[in-house]
Amino acid sequence: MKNIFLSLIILTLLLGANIVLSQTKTSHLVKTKQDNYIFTDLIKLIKEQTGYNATYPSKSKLDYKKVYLGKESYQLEFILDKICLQLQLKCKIIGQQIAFKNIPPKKVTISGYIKDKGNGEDLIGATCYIKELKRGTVTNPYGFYSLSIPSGFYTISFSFLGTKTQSKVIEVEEDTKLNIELDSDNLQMKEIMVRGDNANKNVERAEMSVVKLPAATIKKLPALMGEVDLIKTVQMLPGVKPAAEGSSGFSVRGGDPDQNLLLLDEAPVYNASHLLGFFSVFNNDALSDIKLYKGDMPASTGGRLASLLDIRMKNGNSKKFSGNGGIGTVSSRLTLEGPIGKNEKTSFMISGRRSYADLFLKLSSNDDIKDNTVYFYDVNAKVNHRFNDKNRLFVSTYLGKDKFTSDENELNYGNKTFSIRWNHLFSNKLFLNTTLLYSKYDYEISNKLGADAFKWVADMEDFSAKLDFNYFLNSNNNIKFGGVFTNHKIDPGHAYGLGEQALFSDYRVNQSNSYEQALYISNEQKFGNKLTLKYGLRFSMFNNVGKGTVYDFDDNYEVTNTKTYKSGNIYNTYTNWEPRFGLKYTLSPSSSVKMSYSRTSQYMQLTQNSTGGLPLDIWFPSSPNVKPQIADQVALGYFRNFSNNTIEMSLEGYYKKMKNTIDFKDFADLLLNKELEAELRFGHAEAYGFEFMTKLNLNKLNGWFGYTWSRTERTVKGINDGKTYRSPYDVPHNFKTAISYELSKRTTISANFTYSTGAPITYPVGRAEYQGSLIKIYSGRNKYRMPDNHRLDLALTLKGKKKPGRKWEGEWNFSLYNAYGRKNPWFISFKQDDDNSKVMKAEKTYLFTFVPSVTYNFKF
Amino acid sequence: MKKIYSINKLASLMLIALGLFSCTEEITVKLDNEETRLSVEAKVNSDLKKHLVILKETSDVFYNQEAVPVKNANVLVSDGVSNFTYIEVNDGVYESEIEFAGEAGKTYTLSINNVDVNKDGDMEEYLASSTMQQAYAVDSIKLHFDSDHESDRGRNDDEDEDGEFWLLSIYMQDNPDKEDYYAFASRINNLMVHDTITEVLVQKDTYFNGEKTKGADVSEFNQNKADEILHDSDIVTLETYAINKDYYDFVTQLQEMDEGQNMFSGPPGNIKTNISNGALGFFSVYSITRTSIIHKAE
Repeated sequence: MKNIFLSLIILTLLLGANIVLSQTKTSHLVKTKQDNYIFTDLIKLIKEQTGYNATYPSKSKLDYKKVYLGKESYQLEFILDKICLQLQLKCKIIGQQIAFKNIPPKKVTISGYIKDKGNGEDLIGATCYIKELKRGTVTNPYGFYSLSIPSGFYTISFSFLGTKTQSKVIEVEEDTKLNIELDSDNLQMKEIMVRGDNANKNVERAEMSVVKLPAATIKKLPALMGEVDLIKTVQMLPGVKPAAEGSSGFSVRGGDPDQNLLLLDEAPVYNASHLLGFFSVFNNDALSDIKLYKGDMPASTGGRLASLLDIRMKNGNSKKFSGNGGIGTVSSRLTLEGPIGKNEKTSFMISGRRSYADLFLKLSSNDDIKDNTVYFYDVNAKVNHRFNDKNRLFVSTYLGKDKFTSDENELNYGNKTFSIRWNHLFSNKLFLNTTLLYSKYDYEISNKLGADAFKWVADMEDFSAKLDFNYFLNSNNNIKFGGVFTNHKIDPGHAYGLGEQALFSDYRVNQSNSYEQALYISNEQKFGNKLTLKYGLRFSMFNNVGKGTVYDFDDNYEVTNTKTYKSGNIYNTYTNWEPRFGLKYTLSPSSSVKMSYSRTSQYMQLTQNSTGGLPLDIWFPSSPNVKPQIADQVALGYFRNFSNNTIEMSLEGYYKKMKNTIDFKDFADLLLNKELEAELRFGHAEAYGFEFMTKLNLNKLNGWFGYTWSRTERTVKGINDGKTYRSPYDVPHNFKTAISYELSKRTTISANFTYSTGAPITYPVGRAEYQGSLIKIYSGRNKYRMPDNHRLDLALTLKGKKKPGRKWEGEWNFSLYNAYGRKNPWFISFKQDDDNSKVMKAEKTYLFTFVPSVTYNFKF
Repeated sequence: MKKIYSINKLASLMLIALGLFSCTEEITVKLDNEETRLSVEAKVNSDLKKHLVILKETSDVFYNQEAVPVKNANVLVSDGVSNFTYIEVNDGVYESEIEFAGEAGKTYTLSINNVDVNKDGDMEEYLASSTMQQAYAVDSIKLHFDSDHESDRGRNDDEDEDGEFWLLSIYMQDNPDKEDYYAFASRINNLMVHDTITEVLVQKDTYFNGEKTKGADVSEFNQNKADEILHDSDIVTLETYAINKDYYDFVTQLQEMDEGQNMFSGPPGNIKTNISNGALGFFSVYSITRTSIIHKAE
């Protein structure tokens, strides 16, 4: 035996081959009778039927090992593959001889990028899975994956939602770079789309409270006035509640709208609304991937209590020049993308959108309306360049503006973001992303009339630098660490008279300057096949930096003392340790339980006092008077898949305790107020509930159903006499569904339906007369509820016939918002009757009953 | 003298600009009953006259009658030295027994006794006090016509408040050394036209501290509203009130409340009062400066 072994090694060395499948094809068939054989018996069987002799290492106890077979007849090469994969051998056919060999045990790493074959886009969260080891990993936000494994002979499959699974049978003997391009989904493909071995991702992955939405899914759903909008789609998810009808603000698990961190290519977006929130600033055509974290916040992010909405722009097609766009009721869009130069190293994407509702206003017979201008536009642009396999650079920017003008007033506001990211691979295990960010939100409001003429400007800017390391220690440990530094500069308001005639003097709210920084480390560790733990720690620090002014207030919120600090002087510091923990335990291949705990802190907040939110709302930082908000959230969930993973079900319960919660006093004066901090009241809040979600990924039927039961309450000193009251986002029952069904290859119908308990409201319960007017006496804060809220939206998408040789593809989208005309109250107001001032009436104001729209979308 | 910004105005501008016409309809709302409380409308100003205190009961919000007067109360105003007793001249209307003029710098205290508004069998006592401010010096006033004026007063959906207006401009110097709170109301031929509290214009000097007013508009005469129509040779008198911060807050809150709730207003709350023991209303003390001109129709 020893000699055989020796000669085998020599043979291998001589041939220098490490590809296992023999190049010389044989036509031999092997017929099997049992569904499993002991190795030596199988060797005998092969010899009997083919006449091929086998040699194998003697010390490997192969004699007792079983090989499982499924078929009755195999080509010789395939049966040898089966043996090699199952017993981790490699083999070679030399003449009439089959030589089996042990694969030398060694730790190796396979790594690379996974891309879309059609357009070269990075696939985020694509799976790499090794069947024999039952181990896998997913790509990071840059499409990179790395998996450390023992050397061996494996079936490796790569898959991504909506793409064909690609499997490779390879021997991995040393570190291997494997860049994969996956075929994107198309109708023909879908039929044979393999639900890969790791299709039970929602069961298997360790994170919970996370929802991923591909931009393509969002596009299929009905939209208000045909404007496809990711925020409105996010609002259809369980656990998320729109702040108000038509608003871009949303509440996650009872949090406030300003407790959501919105990142566009990692740059924070401070005001996500266009046109009072009816549309969001995110142009769906420019986006590739959206991920919402409702809890279980990764240690790499922080700064907000409730959620993270991670939005990624497309990189741009690196294969060929292409474009898409649409002509809608409200706006038109155009996106162009393509490679720059040859060899797929550089690509760009530019996407623009402008509304044109104002053009219709010109036709109005009403003079007041005719002279008004109102529009918004936004531009997303991105360039990425691959220097080599180890270095990539991404530059992306967003620029958006809203403008309203009438004969006397003008208001404009907008966001700008800019991010530069550099991906660097130190080795196939250590990935670094370096980010430089800039984000700005500003507005300007002015009046041109005589003594009232004024201009009022406000802005906030963020400058930020970030290092994120990803260390793929081995297949059981995925370590992430890094740090971030941000400088927030806020000019909360500066108003001054315009011209000689103007009455107003110069009034400037004190500017603020602060640093927000954090260091973090986390690990995701697998223990066997069932248990995965995630643990991490984030250390965050916040500094108020001069030049700054701090007011001391007495018990009546009157200023007692004013302190000013010189430029660069750090005059106040807060620090927080934020532990993050998660656990996943697999119960069966299609079910698991998960648990998570996270502490988050928040140092920046918004002066939003109305549910609608205004473009004038301004962010303000923690300070000696405003302690950072802190939240602790625990969540427990059960995840289960059905029907070959085409139906994903989850049930999650959560409890969230929040400290240093901020609310505003009655009749708060939040804008252009130097003493804003005197309008704030502090307390604590809690939120709890459970969310049930069923996601369908069937061939024709896609979408989800969700039911949420939740409560959220606040207790704030100085509000509601210090008694606990409902948060404005306390909505116990909430049922939602968003479904699309493919009637034919060219026709898709979709529907959204939402039902929720009415939002809390404060009603007047009494009245008193005073000098010809009525004083309303209000109930406790949010003691009553509005009528229940429900709505159905429908959409129909018709694709044009695909003509061979023609690149242009068009589709019509017909959408009907609020299909049965439910008059959901937008707000409720009590007022004196015009005819009889002694009579008080309650009136509801509602928007949008039956809003039809048509959009034409195209791509080329 | 408009507010530097009006959220309601801004919001309605944006909504109209968007072509989003919201619809409004009356709804029925079920509300719990609240305990009856005392409502007070009491004023002492710098005029030499018999001052008034009006006492009423609060009611449910959908009550559709005149408020019930509170009778037989003992009402007294004191400036720390002298006491002025009030006598009930009409149901719930109390008048000082003698004429007196409030003086700047003095603090006046109102006390109301011998009432049982919540009908629990125990008599209640209510107290309020307020200090009179120094009257403002007004240099001059001027009337000018605006054929297409959008008034800030009243509810923002009130279309009656847009159109042809005579506007009254004021010329005076704001004191740079202190926070000043102003209120303005006008008389035509000595008849008060801005008689309801929602027609009174209130302003603080935050955004024009120490400035000359440069003819800012402080009174409006709606030419489509019978009692505000100006004729040639009418005498127009502007009353400028020197009010204190508490009353300024009360009036602005009451006016904001009167405008009603909308999507962009904060949660409603109970407006502030300076009267103790859960009463509503206000005891306001202020000095008056009167400036008159004769209107010349063009």
